[in-house]
Amino acid sequence: MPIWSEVLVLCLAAYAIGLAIGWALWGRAAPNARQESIKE
Amino acid sequence: MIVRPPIAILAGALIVTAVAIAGASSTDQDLSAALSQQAQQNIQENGGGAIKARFINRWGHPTRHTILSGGEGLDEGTRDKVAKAVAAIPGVGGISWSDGSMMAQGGEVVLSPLHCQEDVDALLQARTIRFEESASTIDASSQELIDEVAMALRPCLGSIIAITGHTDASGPEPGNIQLSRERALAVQRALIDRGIPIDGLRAQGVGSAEPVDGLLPQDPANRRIEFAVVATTPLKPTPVDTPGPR
Repeated sequence: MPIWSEVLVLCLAAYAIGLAIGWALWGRAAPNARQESIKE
Repeated sequence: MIVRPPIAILAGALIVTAVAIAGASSTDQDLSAALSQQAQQNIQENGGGAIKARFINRWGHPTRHTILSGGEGLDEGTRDKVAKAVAAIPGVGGISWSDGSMMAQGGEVVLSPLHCQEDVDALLQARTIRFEESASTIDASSQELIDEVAMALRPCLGSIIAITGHTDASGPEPGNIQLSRERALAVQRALIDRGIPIDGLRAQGVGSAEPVDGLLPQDPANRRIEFAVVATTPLKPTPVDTPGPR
Protein backbone atom coordinates (compact mmCIF):
# COMPACT_ATOMS: atom_id res chain seq x y z
CA MET A 1 0.00 0.00 0.00
CA PRO A 2 1.54 3.34 -0.99
CA ILE A 3 2.18 5.88 1.74
CA TRP A 4 -0.20 8.41 0.19
CA SER A 5 -3.09 5.96 0.34
CA GLU A 6 -2.32 5.10 3.96
CA VAL A 7 -2.35 8.82 4.82
CA LEU A 8 -5.57 9.30 2.86
CA VAL A 9 -7.33 6.42 4.64
CA LEU A 10 -6.22 7.73 8.05
CA CYS A 11 -7.34 11.30 7.27
CA LEU A 12 -10.73 10.16 5.99
CA ALA A 13 -11.16 7.95 9.03
CA ALA A 14 -10.32 10.88 11.30
CA TYR A 15 -12.79 13.06 9.37
CA ALA A 16 -15.53 10.43 9.75
CA ILE A 17 -14.82 10.07 13.48
CA GLY A 18 -14.98 13.88 13.81
CA LEU A 19 -18.32 13.94 12.04
CA ALA A 20 -19.66 11.17 14.27
CA ILE A 21 -18.52 12.95 17.46
CA GLY A 22 -19.97 16.22 16.24
CA TRP A 23 -23.29 14.61 15.37
CA ALA A 24 -23.40 12.83 18.77
CA LEU A 25 -22.75 16.05 20.68
CA TRP A 26 -24.75 18.64 18.72
CA GLY A 27 -26.60 17.06 15.85
CA ARG A 28 -29.08 14.70 17.48
CA ALA A 29 -31.53 17.44 18.59
CA ALA A 30 -34.15 18.41 15.99
CA PRO A 31 -33.59 21.78 14.21
CA ASN A 32 -36.65 23.32 15.95
CA ALA A 33 -35.34 22.36 19.35
CA ARG A 34 -32.00 23.85 18.50
CA GLN A 35 -33.62 27.12 17.40
CA GLU A 36 -35.62 27.21 20.64
CA SER A 37 -32.47 26.80 22.68
CA ILE A 38 -30.79 29.58 20.69
CA LYS A 39 -33.74 31.96 21.36
CA GLU A 40 -33.58 31.26 25.07
CA MET B 1 -26.32 31.02 2.51
CA ILE B 2 -27.67 27.70 3.72
CA VAL B 3 -25.56 24.68 2.69
CA ARG B 4 -27.31 21.32 2.82
CA PRO B 5 -25.50 18.92 5.22
CA PRO B 6 -24.73 16.14 2.69
CA ILE B 7 -23.05 18.61 0.36
CA ALA B 8 -21.08 20.10 3.24
CA ILE B 9 -19.95 16.64 4.36
CA LEU B 10 -18.94 15.71 0.82
CA ALA B 11 -17.07 18.98 0.37
CA GLY B 12 -15.27 18.37 3.65
CA ALA B 13 -14.29 14.87 2.52
CA LEU B 14 -12.91 16.25 -0.74
CA ILE B 15 -10.88 18.85 1.10
CA VAL B 16 -9.53 16.21 3.48
CA THR B 17 -8.62 14.02 0.49
CA ALA B 18 -6.80 16.85 -1.24
CA VAL B 19 -4.90 17.83 1.89
CA ALA B 20 -3.98 14.19 2.62
CA ILE B 21 -2.66 13.51 -0.87
CA ALA B 22 -0.77 16.80 -1.01
CA GLY B 23 0.72 16.26 2.44
CA ALA B 24 1.68 12.67 1.74
CA SER B 25 3.21 13.48 -1.65
CA SER B 26 5.47 16.09 -0.15
CA THR B 27 6.83 13.78 2.56
CA ASP B 28 6.59 10.17 1.36
CA GLN B 29 9.81 10.31 -0.69
CA ASP B 30 11.77 11.43 2.35
CA LEU B 31 10.19 8.74 4.57
CA SER B 32 10.88 6.07 1.98
CA ALA B 33 14.51 7.17 1.60
CA ALA B 34 15.04 7.23 5.36
CA LEU B 35 13.56 3.75 5.76
CA SER B 36 15.63 2.47 2.86
CA GLN B 37 18.84 3.85 4.34
CA GLN B 38 18.10 2.36 7.76
CA ALA B 39 17.17 -0.98 6.15
CA GLN B 40 20.44 -1.19 4.19
CA GLN B 41 22.34 -0.49 7.38
CA ASN B 42 20.50 -3.28 9.23
CA ILE B 43 21.03 -5.67 6.30
CA GLN B 44 24.79 -5.04 6.35
CA GLU B 45 24.92 -5.51 10.11
CA ASN B 46 23.21 -8.90 9.81
CA GLY B 47 25.45 -10.26 7.06
CA GLY B 48 22.99 -9.97 4.18
CA GLY B 49 25.31 -7.95 1.94
CA ALA B 50 23.69 -8.91 -1.36
CA ILE B 51 20.13 -8.23 -0.19
CA LYS B 52 18.45 -5.02 -1.31
CA ALA B 53 15.41 -3.46 0.35
CA ARG B 54 13.08 -1.56 -1.97
CA PHE B 55 10.56 0.83 -0.46
CA ILE B 56 8.93 1.52 -3.82
CA ASN B 57 5.97 -0.61 -4.87
CA ARG B 58 5.42 -2.06 -8.34
CA TRP B 59 3.63 1.11 -9.53
CA GLY B 60 6.51 3.32 -8.43
CA HIS B 61 4.87 4.77 -5.31
CA PRO B 62 6.82 5.04 -2.05
CA THR B 63 5.61 2.50 0.48
CA ARG B 64 6.37 1.30 4.01
CA HIS B 65 5.97 -2.34 2.89
CA THR B 66 9.40 -3.30 1.66
CA ILE B 67 10.32 -5.88 -0.94
CA LEU B 68 13.60 -7.67 -0.25
CA SER B 69 15.52 -8.99 -3.24
CA GLY B 70 18.85 -10.71 -3.87
CA GLY B 71 20.75 -12.94 -1.50
CA GLU B 72 19.33 -16.14 -3.00
CA GLY B 73 22.59 -17.92 -2.17
CA LEU B 74 22.37 -17.07 1.51
CA ASP B 75 21.12 -19.65 3.97
CA GLU B 76 17.58 -19.42 5.32
CA GLY B 77 18.80 -18.46 8.79
CA THR B 78 20.61 -15.36 7.51
CA ARG B 79 17.67 -14.37 5.31
CA ASP B 80 15.32 -14.78 8.25
CA LYS B 81 17.60 -12.68 10.46
CA VAL B 82 17.84 -9.93 7.83
CA ALA B 83 14.06 -9.89 7.29
CA LYS B 84 13.44 -9.60 11.04
CA ALA B 85 16.03 -6.82 11.36
CA VAL B 86 14.36 -4.83 8.57
CA ALA B 87 10.90 -5.47 10.00
CA ALA B 88 12.06 -4.16 13.38
CA ILE B 89 12.77 -0.67 11.94
CA PRO B 90 10.14 1.74 13.28
CA GLY B 91 7.82 2.69 10.42
CA VAL B 92 8.30 -0.44 8.31
CA GLY B 93 4.88 -1.87 7.54
CA GLY B 94 5.70 -5.33 6.22
CA ILE B 95 8.29 -7.54 4.55
CA SER B 96 8.09 -9.69 1.46
CA TRP B 97 10.71 -11.37 -0.71
CA SER B 98 10.81 -10.72 -4.42
CA ASP B 99 11.53 -14.40 -5.09
CA GLY B 100 8.25 -15.21 -3.41
CA SER B 101 9.66 -17.80 -1.03
CA MET B 102 6.81 -17.15 1.38
CA MET B 103 4.10 -17.25 -1.27
CA ALA B 104 1.97 -20.30 -1.89
CA GLN B 105 2.90 -22.21 -5.03
CA GLY B 106 0.32 -22.12 -7.76
CA GLY B 107 -0.51 -24.76 -10.29
CA GLU B 108 -1.38 -28.35 -9.77
CA VAL B 109 -1.69 -29.56 -6.23
CA VAL B 110 0.79 -32.32 -5.50
CA LEU B 111 -0.84 -34.98 -3.37
CA SER B 112 1.42 -36.73 -0.94
CA PRO B 113 0.99 -40.49 -0.64
CA LEU B 114 -0.84 -41.90 2.35
CA HIS B 115 1.29 -42.88 5.26
CA CYS B 116 -0.27 -46.26 6.02
CA GLN B 117 2.87 -48.11 4.90
CA GLU B 118 4.99 -46.14 7.35
CA ASP B 119 2.37 -46.58 10.08
CA VAL B 120 2.29 -50.35 9.65
CA ASP B 121 6.09 -50.54 9.51
CA ALA B 122 6.28 -48.54 12.72
CA LEU B 123 3.80 -50.91 14.40
CA LEU B 124 5.72 -53.99 13.35
CA GLN B 125 9.13 -52.57 14.10
CA ALA B 126 8.88 -53.21 17.82
CA ARG B 127 6.35 -56.05 17.86
CA THR B 128 5.65 -59.08 15.68
CA ILE B 129 2.56 -61.04 14.88
CA ARG B 130 3.07 -64.33 16.70
CA PHE B 131 1.69 -67.73 15.76
CA GLU B 132 1.30 -70.95 17.63
CA GLU B 133 4.18 -73.40 17.21
CA SER B 134 4.30 -74.89 13.68
CA ALA B 135 0.75 -73.71 13.03
CA SER B 136 -1.01 -70.86 11.27
CA THR B 137 -3.19 -69.90 14.24
CA ILE B 138 -2.52 -66.33 15.34
CA ASP B 139 -1.47 -66.18 18.96
CA ALA B 140 -4.05 -64.55 21.24
CA SER B 141 -1.46 -62.00 22.37
CA SER B 142 -1.16 -60.70 18.79
CA GLN B 143 -4.86 -59.96 18.29
CA GLU B 144 -4.43 -56.44 19.60
CA LEU B 145 -1.56 -55.86 17.16
CA ILE B 146 -3.75 -57.08 14.30
CA ASP B 147 -6.39 -54.56 15.44
CA GLU B 148 -3.80 -51.78 15.25
CA VAL B 149 -2.55 -52.92 11.84
CA ALA B 150 -6.12 -52.96 10.51
CA MET B 151 -6.63 -49.45 11.86
CA ALA B 152 -3.38 -48.28 10.23
CA LEU B 153 -4.34 -49.82 6.86
CA ARG B 154 -7.80 -48.26 6.85
CA PRO B 155 -6.66 -44.98 5.19
CA CYS B 156 -5.28 -47.04 2.29
CA LEU B 157 -8.51 -48.80 1.40
CA GLY B 158 -8.54 -48.94 -2.37
CA SER B 159 -4.86 -49.84 -2.45
CA ILE B 160 -3.43 -53.31 -3.03
CA ILE B 161 -1.95 -54.51 0.25
CA ALA B 162 0.47 -57.43 0.01
CA ILE B 163 0.78 -59.67 3.06
CA THR B 164 3.92 -61.75 2.93
CA GLY B 165 4.68 -64.57 5.34
CA HIS B 166 8.27 -65.51 6.16
CA THR B 167 9.78 -68.37 8.16
CA ASP B 168 13.26 -69.26 9.31
CA ALA B 169 15.26 -71.98 7.60
CA SER B 170 14.78 -74.64 10.26
CA GLY B 171 12.96 -77.39 8.44
CA PRO B 172 12.31 -78.43 4.86
CA GLU B 173 11.68 -75.49 2.53
CA PRO B 174 8.44 -76.81 0.92
CA GLY B 175 6.93 -77.04 4.40
CA ASN B 176 8.21 -73.54 5.23
CA ILE B 177 6.61 -72.06 2.12
CA GLN B 178 3.32 -73.79 2.91
CA LEU B 179 3.42 -72.62 6.54
CA SER B 180 4.34 -69.05 5.64
CA ARG B 181 1.53 -68.93 3.09
CA GLU B 182 -1.01 -70.29 5.60
CA ARG B 183 0.11 -67.71 8.15
CA ALA B 184 -0.24 -64.90 5.60
CA LEU B 185 -3.72 -66.19 4.78
CA ALA B 186 -4.54 -66.26 8.50
CA VAL B 187 -3.56 -62.61 8.79
CA GLN B 188 -5.59 -61.82 5.66
CA ARG B 189 -8.66 -63.48 7.22
CA ALA B 190 -8.09 -61.56 10.46
CA LEU B 191 -7.97 -58.28 8.53
CA ILE B 192 -11.13 -59.17 6.61
CA ASP B 193 -12.83 -59.87 9.96
CA ARG B 194 -11.83 -56.33 10.96
CA GLY B 195 -13.46 -54.73 7.94
CA ILE B 196 -10.62 -54.60 5.40
CA PRO B 197 -12.08 -55.59 1.99
CA ILE B 198 -10.73 -58.82 0.52
CA ASP B 199 -10.38 -57.18 -2.91
CA GLY B 200 -7.28 -55.25 -1.88
CA LEU B 201 -5.51 -57.99 0.07
CA ARG B 202 -2.94 -60.33 -1.48
CA ALA B 203 -1.44 -63.06 0.71
CA GLN B 204 1.71 -64.96 -0.20
CA GLY B 205 4.32 -67.07 1.54
CA VAL B 206 8.00 -67.11 0.62
CA GLY B 207 9.28 -69.52 3.24
CA SER B 208 12.83 -68.76 4.33
CA ALA B 209 13.92 -67.28 0.98
CA GLU B 210 14.01 -63.67 2.21
CA PRO B 211 15.64 -63.50 5.63
CA VAL B 212 15.94 -60.19 7.46
CA ASP B 213 19.06 -58.25 6.45
CA GLY B 214 21.89 -59.10 8.82
CA LEU B 215 20.30 -62.27 10.22
CA LEU B 216 21.21 -65.87 9.50
CA PRO B 217 18.45 -67.81 7.69
CA GLN B 218 18.13 -70.11 10.72
CA ASP B 219 17.45 -67.23 13.10
CA PRO B 220 13.92 -67.49 14.56
CA ALA B 221 13.59 -63.70 14.20
CA ASN B 222 13.03 -64.34 10.49
CA ARG B 223 9.53 -65.63 11.29
CA ARG B 224 7.45 -62.62 10.46
CA ILE B 225 4.62 -61.12 8.46
CA GLU B 226 5.32 -58.12 6.23
CA PHE B 227 2.83 -55.69 4.78
CA ALA B 228 3.42 -53.68 1.62
CA VAL B 229 1.09 -51.18 0.04
CA VAL B 230 2.06 -52.08 -3.51
CA ALA B 231 -0.37 -50.11 -5.63
CA THR B 232 -2.98 -47.50 -5.40
CA THR B 233 -5.97 -47.89 -7.62
CA PRO B 234 -8.10 -44.81 -8.19
CA LEU B 235 -11.65 -45.08 -6.94
CA LYS B 236 -14.08 -45.38 -9.80
CA PRO B 237 -17.62 -44.11 -9.31
CA THR B 238 -20.32 -46.70 -9.68
CA PRO B 239 -22.67 -46.23 -12.65
CA VAL B 240 -25.37 -44.99 -10.27
CA ASP B 241 -23.04 -42.23 -9.05
CA THR B 242 -21.86 -41.22 -12.51
CA PRO B 243 -23.79 -38.19 -13.73
CA GLY B 244 -25.19 -38.63 -17.21
CA PRO B 245 -25.24 -36.04 -20.00
CA ARG B 246 -27.97 -33.41 -19.86
